[in-house]
Amino acid sequence: MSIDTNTSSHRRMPRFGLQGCTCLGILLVAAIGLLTLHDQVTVFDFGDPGPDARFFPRLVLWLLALGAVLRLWRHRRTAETAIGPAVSWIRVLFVMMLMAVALATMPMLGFIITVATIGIVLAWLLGERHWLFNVALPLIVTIAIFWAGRHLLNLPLP
Amino acid sequence: MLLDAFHALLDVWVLIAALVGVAVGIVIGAIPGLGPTLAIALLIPVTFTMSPIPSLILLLGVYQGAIFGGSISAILLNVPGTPSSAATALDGHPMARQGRAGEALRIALYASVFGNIFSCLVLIVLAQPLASLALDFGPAQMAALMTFALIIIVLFGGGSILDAALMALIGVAAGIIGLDPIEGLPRFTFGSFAAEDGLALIPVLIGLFAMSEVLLQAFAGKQKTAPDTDIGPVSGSGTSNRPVGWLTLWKMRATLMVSSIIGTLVGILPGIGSTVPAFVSYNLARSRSRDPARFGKGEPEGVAAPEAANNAVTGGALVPMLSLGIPGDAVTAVILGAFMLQGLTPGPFLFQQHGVEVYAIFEALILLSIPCVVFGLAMFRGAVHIIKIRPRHLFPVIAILAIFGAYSVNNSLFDVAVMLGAGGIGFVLRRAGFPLPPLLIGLILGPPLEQSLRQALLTSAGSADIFLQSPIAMGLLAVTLLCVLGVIIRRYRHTHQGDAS
Repeated sequence: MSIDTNTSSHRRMPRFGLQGCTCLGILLVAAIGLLTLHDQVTVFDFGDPGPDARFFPRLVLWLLALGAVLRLWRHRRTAETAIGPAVSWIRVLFVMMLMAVALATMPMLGFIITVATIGIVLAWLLGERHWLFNVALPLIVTIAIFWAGRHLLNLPLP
Repeated sequence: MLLDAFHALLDVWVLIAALVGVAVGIVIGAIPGLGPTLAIALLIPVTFTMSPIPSLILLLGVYQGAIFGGSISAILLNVPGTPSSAATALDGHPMARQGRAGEALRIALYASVFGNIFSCLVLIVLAQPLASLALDFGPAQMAALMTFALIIIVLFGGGSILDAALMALIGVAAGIIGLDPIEGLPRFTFGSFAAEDGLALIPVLIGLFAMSEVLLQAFAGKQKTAPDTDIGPVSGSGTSNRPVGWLTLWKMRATLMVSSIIGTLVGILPGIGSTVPAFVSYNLARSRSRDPARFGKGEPEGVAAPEAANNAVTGGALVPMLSLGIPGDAVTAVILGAFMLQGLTPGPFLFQQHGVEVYAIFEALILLSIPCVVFGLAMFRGAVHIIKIRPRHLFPVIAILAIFGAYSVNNSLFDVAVMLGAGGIGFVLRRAGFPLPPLLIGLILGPPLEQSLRQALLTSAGSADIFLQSPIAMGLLAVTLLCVLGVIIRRYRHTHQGDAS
């Protein structure tokens, strides 16, 4: 389900919004890629004719940078989607941080504790307050998946 | 070959895989927001320990079931479960409002099955000859073919060409990370040993399609509104529901056939997906109708046309995927990943090396129509309950499955981190309205494109003449150029006419 931009976004259509920020991000990534190309791609020159290992990345990164600049220029007067409420972005960043922490601590705490916590917190953030769906459902699903992964798929889950 | 393939299907695990795949597909497709791409991405880890035929039949069953399942919520709720079902809602939901939900669902089901069988027959006829043709391709021809596929996806994938091009380039750029395909040297790994294998396809697609959805839900926050299911009887026992039998389908034969042809042909072209043929077929059925005014108010042919077309895309999209290794859309890109995990690399050699498996899958695609009809009819009554599942119950489970799925590919937490990163990027791109399928297809086609291009240039000592000396490469590049010019001229005329008016 694609979440449509909310009504408040439509009400306030800024000149520079989410699309512009995304293009700037793409441009930044392409620039970093081009600047670090020499360090990140080692080439041993044996005198072979034809392109080396830097040829294709250089081509793609230049095209990417060009595309991002073109997109920014082409839509410079177009109203863009509003970046959105800060609370919503904080919620998303919180979920991502939670997952990153869970990932880092998974070897120590194990799959069940970390992944079930993600499920429980996510259910709570989405508005679930009944203990059965907020706590029990993510916990049961995690345990079931852990059991199936370990015993049916022979996966060494932490 | 066909008989050997049929024997390979006579296995209880194949039957179980087909039944489970179709049932899961219908359920997931019926839930608004969960499409076949997400469903297959999350189910791939389940197939790791299975043999190739049952595992791929399970995933293709999900694909078929989900495409039909999308029409259930479109008809009952006016909320398309999949984007391609949006056209079905135009007449399906008015029928449901008139108390003819059962009739609409039956028409959608039978039209889906018709479109699917038609496209599978085309797949059987076309895929092998196309693969045989591609056996003569060298690096120059393969590079030209992949360039053609990428350009077609960018030009005709719908939406802004510039946005699609940017996404395809991001995908190709992401494919650079890892070892260089010719010299085997690490590139953009930033000293990480785990990154030398590159970004694994399955974690990236789970992140792009499943985790980004979870983050979009987190962005939206609490949603208290329950879906509106104020509709007539679904079971078909209602007085307004007319029986749907052979006679009904016979009356719609022209619509079904034309829509299936459109769906199959569009499916063969990379990048267009199933939404465009569904709307084209709907508009064509309306223009061919004796009473076009009835369309949009509950006309059965308005349900049959888009459903036949979007299901016909299933077989059509598999033609270039299986014979050339070029995925037509996001779903076939995910299925391509599943084929590769099973050791069946799609492309010209697939039919030579795994002919029995491929033909077994073709036959299974046709036979999957039987469980599709059986489960479709059986699940109509439960459909209303399925589509009422709330996001706050569903998305925590999807997040758990996404983490498990990403980990299970290589038993690596690095892959989970890749999935999470792809999820974050997918979330931003989806919120900004950038299309994700070109990104995924760029990621798949990028490494082989680079390999073919550099091999070709190494063979010719760095001279681009190698592309001009091959008629096939020349032809493909000429067609690519013509497509680009065609689109530019069309856009210019469109702008010019707009200015004039």
